Amino acid sequence: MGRYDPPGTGHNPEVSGPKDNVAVAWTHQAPDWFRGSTQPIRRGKTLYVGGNGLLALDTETGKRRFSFQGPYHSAPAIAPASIYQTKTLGITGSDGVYGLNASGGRELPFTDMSVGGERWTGPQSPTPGFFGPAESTTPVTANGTIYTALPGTNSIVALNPNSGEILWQQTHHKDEAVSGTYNRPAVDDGLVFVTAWPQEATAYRADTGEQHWHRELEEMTVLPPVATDEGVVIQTRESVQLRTRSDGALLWERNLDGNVTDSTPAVANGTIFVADERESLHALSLATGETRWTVPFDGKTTPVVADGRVYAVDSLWALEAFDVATGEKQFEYHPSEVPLSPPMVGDGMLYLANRGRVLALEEA
Amino acid sequence: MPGTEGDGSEAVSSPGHPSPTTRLSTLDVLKSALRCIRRDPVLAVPFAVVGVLVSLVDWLRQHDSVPMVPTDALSQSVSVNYAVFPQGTARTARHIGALVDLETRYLLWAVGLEVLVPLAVGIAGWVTITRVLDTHSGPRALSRYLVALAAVISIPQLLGGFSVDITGFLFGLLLLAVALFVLTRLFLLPALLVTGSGFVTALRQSYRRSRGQGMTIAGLIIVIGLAYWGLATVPVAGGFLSTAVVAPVHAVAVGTVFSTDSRETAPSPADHIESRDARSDESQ
Repeated sequence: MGRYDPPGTGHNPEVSGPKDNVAVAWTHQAPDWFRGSTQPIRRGKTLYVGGNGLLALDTETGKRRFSFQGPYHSAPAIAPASIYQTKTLGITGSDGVYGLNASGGRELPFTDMSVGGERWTGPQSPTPGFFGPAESTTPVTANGTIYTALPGTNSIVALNPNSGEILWQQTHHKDEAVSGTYNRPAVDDGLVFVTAWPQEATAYRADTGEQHWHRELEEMTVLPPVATDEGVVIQTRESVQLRTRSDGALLWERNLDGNVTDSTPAVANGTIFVADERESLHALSLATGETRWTVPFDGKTTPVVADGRVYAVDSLWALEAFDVATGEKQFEYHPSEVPLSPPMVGDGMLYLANRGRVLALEEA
Repeated sequence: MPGTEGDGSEAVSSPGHPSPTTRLSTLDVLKSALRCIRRDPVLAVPFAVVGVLVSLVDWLRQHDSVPMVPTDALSQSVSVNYAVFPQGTARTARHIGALVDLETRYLLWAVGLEVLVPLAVGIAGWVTITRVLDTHSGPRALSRYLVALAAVISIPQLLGGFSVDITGFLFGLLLLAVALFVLTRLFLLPALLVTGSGFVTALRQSYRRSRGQGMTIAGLIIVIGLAYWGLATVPVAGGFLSTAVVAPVHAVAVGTVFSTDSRETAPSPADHIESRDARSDESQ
């Protein structure tokens, strides 16, 4: 799923990527309808990429296993489906939530058509309003359930991966016209942590949707949370804070004088990696919020961490890699097209969606 | 409104007893169909039973584990839900995509439900039209009727539904006119299959015999299609109402138009019913 795990750490301790420099291992030129900007995900040797449809590629060769066009834009989340022989991919688009067949369905003999790619249409978003179509949201799978914000609404839903049936739904600011969609939820140990504009930070019970705690933060802009054993990491426009899992009480807050609107922190081995969207990427102690290192980095980013490297795509166009311990920049890669998605790390490679294509980068 | 009384359709000699040379208006056909059902209520029984089944299957689809969707037409502000063969509009549907890669027992369950309803609808339509035409056709005619019904139901499913973006008013009107023309020409297909015609003959005959009755049949298609949709929008009982109320009228209307066209060689459904009534009276 997007951000690797249900808690949303962006850290995969079991894989490694390129260390010192990168070269293109393969490029997959996608069908004309494809527009990729969200993080790919991997299951075994299959890479799934959302973007005006779904692409499934062989991770080693980049060869297409299947693809189909549809209103799917987010990073997919793989969910077990007990009534099916294959997994379900939860995915969202501006119109709502969908469940896709992870094997792509079946081709119809003597035609170029296939059936069974889409299993279900889940809850749908309202008709686009003044601001245009809603942005897709990133679904999360945990405990056999799909959790996702519903694009264009103030709701978070828990869905049955078999049928898309809503198991529970919670909505903030129900009766207020001006409010924001929930960010990517962080799910950990039976709790679903969510944040939203304005000032919203809430924990729901994963099984029932019952509210566990709710806090109104001081700042209006709140970014996606990350759940850790030490607490819930929440980034706001100017600062980063850690709150207790049990009741959302503030443990510490660190003001970075940021102007963050579209970044997400990563957490690995007791360190938070976070951009301030002004001029720096910071590594902060998860326990205290103290700075471990700061490096120049001027844009928004959703970093990922694997085997001693922090990989961060700056403002959707430049991939940069930093040493986890020192912050020393290891390499930088500029593709010929924009936007460039956050990378997915695996088997010594980085996989990225890049507008009309998908890239695999290996150690140079 | 085309095909209604006083709109230029030829005069009817007496309601319920059209002369052999007259052409009925839409309203005449509907009145005649309702009269037939009132005189022979058994005509309503098959689709009443199927209506219960449709409602039950709607409920099962909503409560089992396999994905289902509300019927597309129910979200429209208005819809003409007409599909050649007499059949109600269910409130739920199951797309073929939901069946691919299902575990065997769920697949058998879901396919069973999806086969059961068309099978029951087909048999009900065949029985009703057979009775209204007072004809006797064998299992081959029934199987042809069921195959044709299955094709009408399943081909749009396999192709993902016939959905066309109408970009302009005139283009939309043209498209509607073409669709209505095709459906008009296929209106008598169920009756021809019931009377034992093969597929090709039935298509050819339906095309030929519907000529000259286009406005009447088009009116029937619109009224029946609106009624299928309108009753289906009733919460909970919509599937039952659409099937039990409209489908028998549709089936008898097909028989009525077919009989009118075949007047030189066969008596009208009303005559059949009256003769049955007479036989019944004599036996008492």
